[in-house]
Amino acid sequence: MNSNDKKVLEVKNLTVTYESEGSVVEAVNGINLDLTARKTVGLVGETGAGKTTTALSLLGLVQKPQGHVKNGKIIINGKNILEMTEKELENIRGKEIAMIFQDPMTALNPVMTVGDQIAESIVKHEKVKYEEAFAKASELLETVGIDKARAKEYPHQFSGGMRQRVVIAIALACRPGILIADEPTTALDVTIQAQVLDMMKKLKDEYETSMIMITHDLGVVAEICDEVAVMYAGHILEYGVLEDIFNRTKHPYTEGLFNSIPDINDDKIRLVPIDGGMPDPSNLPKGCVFHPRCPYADEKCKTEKPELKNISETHQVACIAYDRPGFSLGRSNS
Amino acid sequence: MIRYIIRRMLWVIPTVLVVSFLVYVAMDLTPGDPANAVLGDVATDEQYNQVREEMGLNDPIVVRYFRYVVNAVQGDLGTTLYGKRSVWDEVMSRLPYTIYLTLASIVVAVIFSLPLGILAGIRQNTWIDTLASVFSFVGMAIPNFWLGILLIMAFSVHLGWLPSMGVHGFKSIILPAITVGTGLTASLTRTVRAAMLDVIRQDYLRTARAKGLSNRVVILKHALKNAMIPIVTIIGTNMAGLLAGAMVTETVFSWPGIGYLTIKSVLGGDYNLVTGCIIITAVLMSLILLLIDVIYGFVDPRIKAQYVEGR
Ligand SMILES: Nc1ncnc2c1ncn2[C@@H]1O[C@H](COP(=O)(O)OP(=O)(O)OP(=O)(O)O)[C@@H](O)[C@H]1O
Ligand SMILES: [Mg+2]
Repeated sequence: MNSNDKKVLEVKNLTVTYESEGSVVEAVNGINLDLTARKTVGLVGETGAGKTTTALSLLGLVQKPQGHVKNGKIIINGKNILEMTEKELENIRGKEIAMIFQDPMTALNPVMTVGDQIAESIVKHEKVKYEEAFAKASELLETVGIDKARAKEYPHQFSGGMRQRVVIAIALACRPGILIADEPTTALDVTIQAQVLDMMKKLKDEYETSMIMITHDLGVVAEICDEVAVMYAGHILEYGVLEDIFNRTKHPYTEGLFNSIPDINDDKIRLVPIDGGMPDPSNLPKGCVFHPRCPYADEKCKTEKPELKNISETHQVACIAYDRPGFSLGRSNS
Repeated sequence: MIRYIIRRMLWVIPTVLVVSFLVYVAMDLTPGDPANAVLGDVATDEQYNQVREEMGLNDPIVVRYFRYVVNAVQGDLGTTLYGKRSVWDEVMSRLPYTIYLTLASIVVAVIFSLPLGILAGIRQNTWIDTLASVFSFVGMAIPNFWLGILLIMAFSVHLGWLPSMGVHGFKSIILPAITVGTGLTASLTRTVRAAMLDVIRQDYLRTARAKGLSNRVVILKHALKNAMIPIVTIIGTNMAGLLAGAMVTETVFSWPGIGYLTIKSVLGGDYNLVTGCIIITAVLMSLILLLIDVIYGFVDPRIKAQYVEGR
């Protein structure tokens, strides 16, 4: 194995539930995920698929008392974080693994200056004096494209795009080895989206950070990801390198995602949204979780749970329709 | 900010004018006659009329009120009925005691309600949460005079640890401050708990945790700073109740503040003194509310920004 292919993160059979008064939400159901140094893995799926929950469990931040990480392993740089004490977790959060949160309007503390909020992380992990940390925080603001004189200002004085830059600066403050970006551009308007994405790409390369990019925007995936995991109802249905997912699509759900993107160059190709909605996560269907919405489903899909199987060295799919002789998706050969 | 404070201070003037007019008219309407009170029952009609003329009581009320205000801005609130001392001096000599008691009871309330409310909020539905809510209900239901008497019986009469009346050093403030502060402690505990419950679910606390900050820092720094906003509001809105509570409590403990003086002057029918006491209390109240507003600006930068913009 080449040292460049070093795995910085391994997730094995991760299962997370939210439990309250008798109902159990099965948010994440036995997923596996690997992250290779300096690579970017995209985690794609509709709202409610369990993307944020997966990300939070990587930081040991699944919200108690409802949230429970049931079993599995999360190995970061060789250590299983599920076996760590709170103290050990605090030492790796923000340092070895950091997260950019979904909504920049609520992710910042309204009563602390942005400089303060960045400096906190530096004080914690680099054991420097506050003044030094604040100076560093100001430099970081400059790095993400905000005048450093504004470090003394409060979040309400910034626009949404700038707040997201601040959130990014907080996450990158201690140059973490692993960065989880939870829909970092969803809340921003399109022109700002492109700027923020470009900036993240640049900084990620400069800091040699490995990244998990959570999104439901396949455009973002195409732009930034090396590998893609397609997530649905807490399961990974398809996993592969970018070309596998985009050009050799194998799962009916992935196909559905592509079909639901309007094609602005050709108005004859009609938008085909996936029928139905996400299943109730506290009452998931038996068999394949996608079968109620799947145009290819048959009787077997209702009872038999598909496993994620290798179909090439880089590509995995969880669909038993491939047991049928000659089965292929409508889109796959076009 | 400074301009804002000055503008707010100017607003105290009309407030006090309205309050003083109402008090003046109310005192005029109450049965009884100052001239009678001065002379006693054995005066002739002639003497009586002469005294009324001397005291200016025969003029229309608007004229009398106007004269009162003109004198008042020069620090002359008239003289007390008995002993003919200056009302201004009398009230001012009591003012520090009332301020002392009010501040002490706020301190008591904050000392008890912060930890209790925080714990109840972060450990929702545990025994400490139940304890806090039982305490809040009881604390809000107990009348001040009854609590005061209870405390005197327990700590002064029975145990003999603390004085029951007057001012004899630091020990004397303890029971009155607890008496006045209990109601505020009760409502503050509920506020702190609710604020904590609200703040604790906010995304920015997750951001703080994701930086690797410890639970203690997350709660005491990030959460509490945000919870301060409703806490300061509740202290502000409870000020009127606090001053009223002080009036009763000062009487129970013979605490030489404005409240005790007010009650005594009402019972003695000392018109000038009652009016003076209430007007000074109104000014005090306005200034405390202003202070709360200023503190507000410091806890919430968004509000401070409004002050600056809204000049
Ligand atoms: N604190 C919680 N308590 C109970 N259920 C929760 C909690 N957080 C998330 N869930 C549930 O878990 C499931 C997965 O939620 P999650 O936030 O991980 O989805 P997501 O893929 O990030 O969606 P989105 O794209 O909207 O951000 C959802 O059904 C959600 O309702
Ligand atoms: Mg999410």
